[in-house]
Amino acid sequence: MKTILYVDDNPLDIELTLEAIKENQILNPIIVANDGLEALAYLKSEGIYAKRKPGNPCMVLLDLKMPRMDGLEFLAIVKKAENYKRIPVILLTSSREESDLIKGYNLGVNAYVVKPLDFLALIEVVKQIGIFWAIINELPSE
Amino acid sequence: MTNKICNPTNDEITKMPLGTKINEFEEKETSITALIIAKEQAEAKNVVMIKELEHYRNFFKISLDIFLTVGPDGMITDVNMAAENAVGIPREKLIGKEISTYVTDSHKVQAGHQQIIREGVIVDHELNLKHVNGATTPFLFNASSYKDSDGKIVGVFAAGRNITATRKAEDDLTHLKNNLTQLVKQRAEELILVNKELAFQNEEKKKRAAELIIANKELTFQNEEKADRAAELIIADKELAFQSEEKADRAAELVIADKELAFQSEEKADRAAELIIANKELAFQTEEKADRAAELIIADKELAFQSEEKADRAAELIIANKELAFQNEEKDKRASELIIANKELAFQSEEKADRAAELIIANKELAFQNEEKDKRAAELVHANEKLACQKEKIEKFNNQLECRVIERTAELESLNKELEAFSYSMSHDLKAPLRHIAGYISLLIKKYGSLFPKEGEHYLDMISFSVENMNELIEGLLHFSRSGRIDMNKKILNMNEIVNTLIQPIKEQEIERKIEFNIEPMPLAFGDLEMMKSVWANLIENAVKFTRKEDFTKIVIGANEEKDENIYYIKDNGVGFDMNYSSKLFTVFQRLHLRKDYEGTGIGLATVKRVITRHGGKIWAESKVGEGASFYFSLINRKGNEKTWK
Repeated sequence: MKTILYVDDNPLDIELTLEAIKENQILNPIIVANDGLEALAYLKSEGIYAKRKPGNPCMVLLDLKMPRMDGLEFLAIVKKAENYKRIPVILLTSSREESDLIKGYNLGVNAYVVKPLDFLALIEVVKQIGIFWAIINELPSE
Repeated sequence: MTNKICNPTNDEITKMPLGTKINEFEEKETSITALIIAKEQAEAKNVVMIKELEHYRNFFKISLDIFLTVGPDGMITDVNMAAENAVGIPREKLIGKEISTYVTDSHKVQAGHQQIIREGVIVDHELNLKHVNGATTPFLFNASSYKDSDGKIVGVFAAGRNITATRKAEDDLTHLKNNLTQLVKQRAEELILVNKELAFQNEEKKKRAAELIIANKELTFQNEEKADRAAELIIADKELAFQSEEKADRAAELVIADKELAFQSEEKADRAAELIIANKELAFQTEEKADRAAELIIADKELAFQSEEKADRAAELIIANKELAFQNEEKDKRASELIIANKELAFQSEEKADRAAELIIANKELAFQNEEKDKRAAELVHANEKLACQKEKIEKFNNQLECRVIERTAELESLNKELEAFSYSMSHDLKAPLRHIAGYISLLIKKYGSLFPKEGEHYLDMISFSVENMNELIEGLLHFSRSGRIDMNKKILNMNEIVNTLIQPIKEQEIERKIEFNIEPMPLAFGDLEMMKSVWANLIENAVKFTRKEDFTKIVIGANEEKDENIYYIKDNGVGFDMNYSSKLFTVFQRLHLRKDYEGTGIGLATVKRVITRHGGKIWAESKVGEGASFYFSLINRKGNEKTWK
């Protein structure tokens, strides 16, 4: 089963999202990176991920506002890289700002999801994302 | 075989060919008679043969060619004179000698001899004979063997011919042939060279010919071009000639025009001078006219006075007549007085001259006044300069003002950016903890909800409710801030369309309520679609909210077209409000109703006002408590704003 790369810096958000994933019995292994740089290191199998199993994740769940390298910067790099540009990236953020939406889509994001206030709604959102991107969606072989 | 056992006749025997093999058995039967006859015949024959031989021998002897006979042992048996001459040895000495002694190449003699024995004949066999004086002579031999009656070779007859001349001829021929071959070879080589040269020259010739063709074409083309150019040149020459003539004409005209101009300039100067004089004259005449008018008044008065005087004079005339008489007398006296008067006239002439002098003075005065006028003009110029300077100052001031406006705008922009950053931060940072609170309460209720007593559950509900409230506030504030800072994308808007799309979901949602929407046709507006949507959404939502307690809700939406603007309105039959507080209506966080009666953040109408203000319009409301409320907003219309509506 393919890995899901989850990029977020807020530990509370991480806990709640992982809880929501668990609720939905999504069994894919989840890798949590705390910012864009860490996420890139995972993709490139560098640093602490030097010895990981090779292969791209089946999707990236990406927060916008993060230290060092934010979500849009990471997105720009991934969507330009020949090896990574076909990985589905879903922006999962609390911002409903039109400018963020436009920037995201201009950089080639595959979906933009606003984190709902209600936890039950979050569970449902995570479920939909999981079903669609990890199960229904077909990806070209690497 | 048996029938042949018979005696043959003599004829038969003579007819038998020589060498015919006769069986020994037959021989024994026939030999005796045959032999006798044969012997007789042979003797007779021999006599004839000897004579013949003698005859032939003479031929043999005198032949120019060598004749010789050789025995089977290779020894010479006979030679002729030619042979004697060839070797320089007499016949007697030659006979009995070996033939090979007189030949240079003895092995060839051997080979020839063997061939004769084998084949019976040899032709064209070449041998060199040695002369006793040491010279050798080439001979070509033909030879054949001759045999006895038994067929045994008894000798060889050879005939040889001196081939020195032939050989020489052959040698010459060979030499000639060689020379010829050499010559042919040389000629052939020369010919090849010449051919190559010729081929090369042919190619060169072809190239030259091709070049010549191109050159000819070029020449033809150039000739044509030359002809064209010549034709053009002729046309150009004609044109030039024509232009030169035109130029000459123009020059002549110019001279005339110049003269005319000079004349006109002079005339103009004259006219100007005359005009100045005329002007002065006019001024003078005007003054004179005024003087004359004054004088006329005086003259009138004088006339009246003179009329009175006339009456007096009439009376005086009588007296005068009397006087006349007296005067006639006096005339004489006067004549003498005339002399005196003439003297007086002379005096007056002098006076006239004095007046002329005074006129000169008056002219000087005029000149002085003109100078004064010039001074005034200079002062005017100075005043104008001052004015220009002031204008410059004003411009400078305007520029400064513009700079200040730019500065202020930049400051404003930077402030706006800060505000944007602040709102962005709010949307992200402020919402995150709220979401976390909501998330953990959900988890708490989900996992440990059963452990709480009823009161505890209530507290949790209240926390959740507050979180939702705060979220609404944040969203409302964000919307409010966004409505003030995002760029407007103005276009022509169909207000009826916007309103209809907004009320449709409300009708579906509030299905239990009796709500009548009365939408009148409205004029087009000019503005940002999203913002205008939010305006109508807020106003309609409010109307629906504040009519909640009515049995029957009536909402009217429409517009009035005024001179420069359209006034859109929405009227409801709801709870209304106290006009005393109407000023608070459009301020953020201000509410005119209790939250428990009518929910809301107090941000909606503030946002609406901001949008309308940004569109250059106004918003106001009219109401009485319990009698519904009417909200109005104005937007510029097309009539007075053709330019901005594009």
